[in-house]
Amino acid sequence: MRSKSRPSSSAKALIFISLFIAGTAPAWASETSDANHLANRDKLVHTLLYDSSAARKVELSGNEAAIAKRAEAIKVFEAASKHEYAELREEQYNRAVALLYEAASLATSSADSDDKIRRDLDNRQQSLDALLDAHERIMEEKHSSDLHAALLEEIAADRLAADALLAEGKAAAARVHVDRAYVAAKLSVERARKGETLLRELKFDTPEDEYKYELDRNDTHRMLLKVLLDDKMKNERIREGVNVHVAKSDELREKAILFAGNKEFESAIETLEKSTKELVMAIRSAGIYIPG
Amino acid sequence: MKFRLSALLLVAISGAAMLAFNSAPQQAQAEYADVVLNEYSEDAGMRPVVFPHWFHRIRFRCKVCHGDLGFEFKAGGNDINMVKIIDGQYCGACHDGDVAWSIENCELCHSGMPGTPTQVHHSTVSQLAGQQRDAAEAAEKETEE
Amino acid sequence: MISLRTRAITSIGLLASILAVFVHAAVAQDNPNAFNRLMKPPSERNAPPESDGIHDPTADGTLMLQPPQESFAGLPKSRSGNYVNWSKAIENELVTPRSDIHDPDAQAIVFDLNIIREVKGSMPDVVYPHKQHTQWLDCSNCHPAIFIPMKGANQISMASILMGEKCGVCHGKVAFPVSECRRCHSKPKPVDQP
Repeated sequence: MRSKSRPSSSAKALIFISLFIAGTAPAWASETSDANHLANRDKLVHTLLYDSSAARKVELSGNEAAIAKRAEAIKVFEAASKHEYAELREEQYNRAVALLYEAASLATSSADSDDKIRRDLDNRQQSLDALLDAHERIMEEKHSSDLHAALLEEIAADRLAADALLAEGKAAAARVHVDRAYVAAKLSVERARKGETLLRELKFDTPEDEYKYELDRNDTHRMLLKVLLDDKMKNERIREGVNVHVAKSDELREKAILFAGNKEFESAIETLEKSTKELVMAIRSAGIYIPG
Repeated sequence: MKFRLSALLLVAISGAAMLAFNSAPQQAQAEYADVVLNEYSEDAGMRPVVFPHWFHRIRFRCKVCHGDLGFEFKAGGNDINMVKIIDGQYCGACHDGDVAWSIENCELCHSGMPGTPTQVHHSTVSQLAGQQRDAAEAAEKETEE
Repeated sequence: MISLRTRAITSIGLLASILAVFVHAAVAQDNPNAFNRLMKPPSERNAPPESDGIHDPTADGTLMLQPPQESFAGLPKSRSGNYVNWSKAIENELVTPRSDIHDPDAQAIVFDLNIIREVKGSMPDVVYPHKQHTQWLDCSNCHPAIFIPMKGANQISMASILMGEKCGVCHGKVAFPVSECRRCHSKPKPVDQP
């Protein structure tokens, strides 16, 4: 009896201990995690105030208001670090961060952001020009050049205004006008082409062009082999099966390149097609279906 | 007796599961298109930034950031820093406490695994480049031997 | 008090379980008749931030981030990428992303124009639908920096796409990857033609 009950009670003790640990762990862990969180936060805010691009910007700007704001932020931060209550510390950290952001804003001259505004404007302008070119071609094709003239007239005022503003260095204001012209062009192209299907045929001017096309197709399948079979090649059975086809493909590709060297493009194309076919089979042999 | 065995089994299994979970090599299984940005972060003592494309595309169409806000289609190609974000450029256009939470929350973005380089996670380009790198390293090893 | 014997049994059980996990994994890889031989195990998809390998699980922010599985639960599935069919999701309004930062009601200007690009051999031709693209993007995202909006002006090769140019600026990075051949190569050749 005794010998039977002893192990059972030790198991009970084990369970009890596990339950006790399981029950107390969260509360215990959350206290440390709060402390950890504040320690982390202290470190992060310190980095922001002392080492970040924003802190350096303020320091190097020579802007007195900005420098004063950062000093204020540091003061708030130092006080927060010593604060007793976690919630108040958190609040003070946030205030320090906000103050540094204000400082950085003060230190950022308009020229800094102008670069990007200007670049964005140039991009939008190029898209507008590309759309207008396309629009002109589409309307010619449809024998409706008057619609292109109408579009140009519709956006003329905005384009003039944009140019004038840009000449004064007001890129942000110019962007509003370029955007308006851009949307008008976009809508007009959309109306003209809506619901259509255009066909781009495949035709080769010379056999050499077709050979280059086949070479690219062969390259592509070699890359696909890597991209699609990355994981699968770790399996020896699959790898062996794949490699048989790849070896054949390599051989054929070499032959094709020799043919092309002798300007025998028809044979080169035919041989490359076979080489590519082997690669397709290699990929399929690993269990991935690709068309072709 | 039965009770003891099942209790032990429970402890053993959960222990094994925990060990297996912890000792498994940390293979990156992050979301497709997650972007890690580490051009400046770690140099400035911060963790790299992780930008989840999936989360943002549910809320905004691509054109909003890659058009209206002028983000280039290239990880690390935008030269973003905190000054620009505070100035309302790039991330700062939304993360201003109005459209989205404001940037007091450092670690919501700066939460990357230290040492992770700038990348678009799972991109075909990095897959191909990685294999070329592996092949080059293998070849180098062979010549050494 | 926990006896020595109990501890010994616990350790043996522990070791056995660990061994079993590893043996099981090894067998699964080598077994020619493995279940779902051609599929990536679902356990390797959509990991939560704290275990996805690029977030630092010790960062305070990591646990505050939304796990992707929670977000993707109601969205149409696909075979690769995020395992979400984003085109279908926006088409069926299961996601309704804004097209303006501030105005939630701003409507995207969707452009319905298909371009068919012929390719050689039995490979299906490519259909490029402006519609699905302009649901997300604006003309200026691609024109003219990536594609000149003019017939015959754009040489596109699959190899360059794989290297991240042309369509590869998005496909293979954020839009569905090139492994989904048939989502672009979607127009079969007429039966009487090779």
